Amino acid sequence: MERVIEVEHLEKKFGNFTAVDHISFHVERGEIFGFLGANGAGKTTAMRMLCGLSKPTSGTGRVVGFDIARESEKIKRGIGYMSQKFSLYENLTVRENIRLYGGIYGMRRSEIRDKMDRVLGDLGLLEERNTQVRLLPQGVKQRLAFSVAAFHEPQVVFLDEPTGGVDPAVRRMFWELIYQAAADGITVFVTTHYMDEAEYCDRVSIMVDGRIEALGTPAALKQQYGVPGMQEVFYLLARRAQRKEG
Amino acid sequence: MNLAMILAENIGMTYRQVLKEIVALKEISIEVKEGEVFGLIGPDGAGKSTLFRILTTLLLPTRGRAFVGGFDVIDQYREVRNIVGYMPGKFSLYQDLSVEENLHFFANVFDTTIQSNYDQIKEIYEQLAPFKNRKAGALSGGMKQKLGLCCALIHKPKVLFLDEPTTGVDPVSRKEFWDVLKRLGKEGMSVLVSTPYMDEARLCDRIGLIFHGELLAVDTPDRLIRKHDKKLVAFRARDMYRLLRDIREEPGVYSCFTFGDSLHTTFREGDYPVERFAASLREAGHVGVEWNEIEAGIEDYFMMLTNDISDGTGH
Amino acid sequence: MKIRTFIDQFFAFTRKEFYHILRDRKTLLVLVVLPISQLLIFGFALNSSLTEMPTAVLDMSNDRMSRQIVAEIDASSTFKVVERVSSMDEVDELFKRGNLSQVFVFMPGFEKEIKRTGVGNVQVIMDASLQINASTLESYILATLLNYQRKINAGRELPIQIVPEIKMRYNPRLDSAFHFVPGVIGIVLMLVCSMMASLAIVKEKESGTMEVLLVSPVRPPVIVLAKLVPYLLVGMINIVVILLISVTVLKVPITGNIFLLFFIGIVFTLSSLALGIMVSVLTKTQRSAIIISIAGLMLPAITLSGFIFPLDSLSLGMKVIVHLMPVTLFISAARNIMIKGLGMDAVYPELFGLLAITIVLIVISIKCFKNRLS
Repeated sequence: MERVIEVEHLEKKFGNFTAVDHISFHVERGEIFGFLGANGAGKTTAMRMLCGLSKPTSGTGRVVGFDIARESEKIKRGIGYMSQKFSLYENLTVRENIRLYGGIYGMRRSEIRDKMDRVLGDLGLLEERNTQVRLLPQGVKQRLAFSVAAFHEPQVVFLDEPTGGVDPAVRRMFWELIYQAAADGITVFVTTHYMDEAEYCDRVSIMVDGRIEALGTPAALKQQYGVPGMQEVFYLLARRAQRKEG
Repeated sequence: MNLAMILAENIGMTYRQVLKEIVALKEISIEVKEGEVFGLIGPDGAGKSTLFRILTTLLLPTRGRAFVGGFDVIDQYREVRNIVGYMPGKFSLYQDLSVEENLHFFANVFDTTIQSNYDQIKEIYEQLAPFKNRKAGALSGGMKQKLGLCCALIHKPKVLFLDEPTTGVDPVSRKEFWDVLKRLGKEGMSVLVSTPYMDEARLCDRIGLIFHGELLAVDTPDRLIRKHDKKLVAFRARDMYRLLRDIREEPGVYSCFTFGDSLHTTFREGDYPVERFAASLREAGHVGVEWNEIEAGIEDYFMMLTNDISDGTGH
Repeated sequence: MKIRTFIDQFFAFTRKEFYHILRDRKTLLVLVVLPISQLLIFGFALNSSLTEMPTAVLDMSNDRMSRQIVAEIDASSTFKVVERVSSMDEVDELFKRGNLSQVFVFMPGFEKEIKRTGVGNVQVIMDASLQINASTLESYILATLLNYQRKINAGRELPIQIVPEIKMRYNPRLDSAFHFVPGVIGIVLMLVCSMMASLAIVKEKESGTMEVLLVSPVRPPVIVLAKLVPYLLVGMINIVVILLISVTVLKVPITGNIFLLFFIGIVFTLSSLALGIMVSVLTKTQRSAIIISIAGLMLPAITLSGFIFPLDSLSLGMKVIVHLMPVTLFISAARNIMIKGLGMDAVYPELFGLLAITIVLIVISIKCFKNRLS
């Protein structure tokens, strides 16, 4: 299997504070990788380094084949990113948003047009292409945001708490979109606070105090800790945290 | 124990915009008793915050009446403001003030001191103490929420309103937060708390399920779960995504959704032959098909209620 | 509400406001640097070097000596003779056009007079609007005439004297350059105070902290009044700095009582803050507050306060309206004190006007303070 993300002893320090403490892991092509951890465990910092937004203090990492310290611009071209906080321009229409993102990633106009029809068809949004995003229901917005993040066919899509506050049905429909993307060969790297969503991942890692304390398939982790669900696995690990978040 | 500390009668809220009317709340009636932890469960945009703002005297409802601690939220808003603690959904403390400065400020606003109500906030305050000189804006999500709760509790309110206090907070901090709420309830405080996390519903004395401005159901968590009247089966197989699509193809299936490591499936008929269906799935090439009938959870019930209204149907 | 509660809350709020201001270093820097830079830019703009000042000559004598002096004047780099006129009426006309620095007037029989008495008087009429440069110009005029005197006295037994007789000409259409300084002080103070205050409350609406404050026993007067205090202090520091720069760098003499000026400045600062607070109470976002304070407060303050255009030309109705603007009253009072050297009895209408406006604005702010959202 091809490794799309691969990091070795990645470390990030802010002054005396070690936010990310020598983490090593890899993610394979087409995998859905859940990146879990308590607030302040270092998830966001680690994710920023993977996306080329922040340089590691030490250690190495390659994302979509490029070095995270030296080739961040190339990485940015090969990945997609979506967060709950920001993803689409609310006062632009569906079509304008897609055109904008396609344009940012240097896609040709004809390419954008063809792909847009396909994506909107899949989402059932062909009729809504000229609707401003702010007028769409929350669930539709969320799925559109994901499709936009994956529009330029990146090798990896990073999702930062993509489903916070959405209703249960919409949350699941969102995950079905993730499954579909993974089936198409797109690697999905996702953070979440919903432990049931952790179960949907092929593999998950759990960060505690800047280190990865557990890594494996949900089934294996549950077996390892002898508990029925990911929620309990998470409690067991996060309770051990020495570094009290502040 | 039977005094209604929060009483909402047919509360309705309609916003007028240029072209259309937006109905934020339709005929909401709830009652929260003394010492009760009442959970308002529903997704973003369901109207939870609007209801909170009406009950905390911040908004005037278009219809209906509401009383908090026996005071009318419209005419006696000053009295209401003296007895409630409120933590809005968005972090609403001064980010450029330190933890301690925020606490002192709010204590002064409520004409009290940190010391005079120390018992109630002790548990949370001790967790905050190591960071008392840190700027509130530099705290992590979980700590911000604890500080927010501390500030809302500082004047011993009789009624506590917490609008999505645990959103975006990790499960461990969430659990600690709920432990505090449970204790407050035991000590006689009435708590109205909203959350988008269905798993937190079980931690409430009673819950109301809210969706698109409508209160779909109100009861204790246990009784609500028992209202789930459809046969519920959990399916598992090697390729879950394919399994999901194939189960949804079956006409006898009412809905099918991923739930943790299995697919929760409801059937239209109570006597649907599940084993025969499972066999047909195996024949269709699915490996490792397992199934067992399960008891519904709050989330199952919520999804059953919203299946027809939601913009994402399970079919 | 108990008075002690009110005072406790008021102090808690004031303390909090001080924290906000002191911790926002960048804004604080702007608040201090902005007035200084504004004033200095203005000062340097006026203190540009004096060359080729447009000069007219009214030579009613037209003799050898007067012609020689005119040639001498024209030859200096400071003056440039742009016009020769034949009557005082024409001089008036030129000044009205406003493109003249000074006129040299030679009375009939200029040379004869010198020969008779040994002293020649040259009248110099200067435009009062260039008063800020007057002393410099005066010394140039003196130097030029002395230069000529030296030349002509070479080898003469009885030395003659050419004495300039300088007259300032009050021009009703153009105020003295010093008149601009109180104007700049007023505008700069208002810019800083109104803008700051216009954000004070709306900032809390945007950040959500207002929601928590509303659901608390705190009353609007506490919130509104406590916001004023720290900004008033910043305003007072600004007044001191501005006056210091005016006196030391711009060399504006403060002829009247400086404490009276300072006091009026404080009252004016309060009124500007109250204006800003009112904007803050009435708006919902920081963006609209800024737009309103620029378009609704600053533009009229600059154009209608008498800062640039004299108020005499306004209709009576407009006059009443512009005198409801605090900045108009302040500029008028500050001119009276700084330039005319007048005392309390001359500025009390402005002072009471400012106080009244301040009180009205604060009352409006408290009354309009929304007790609920939306």
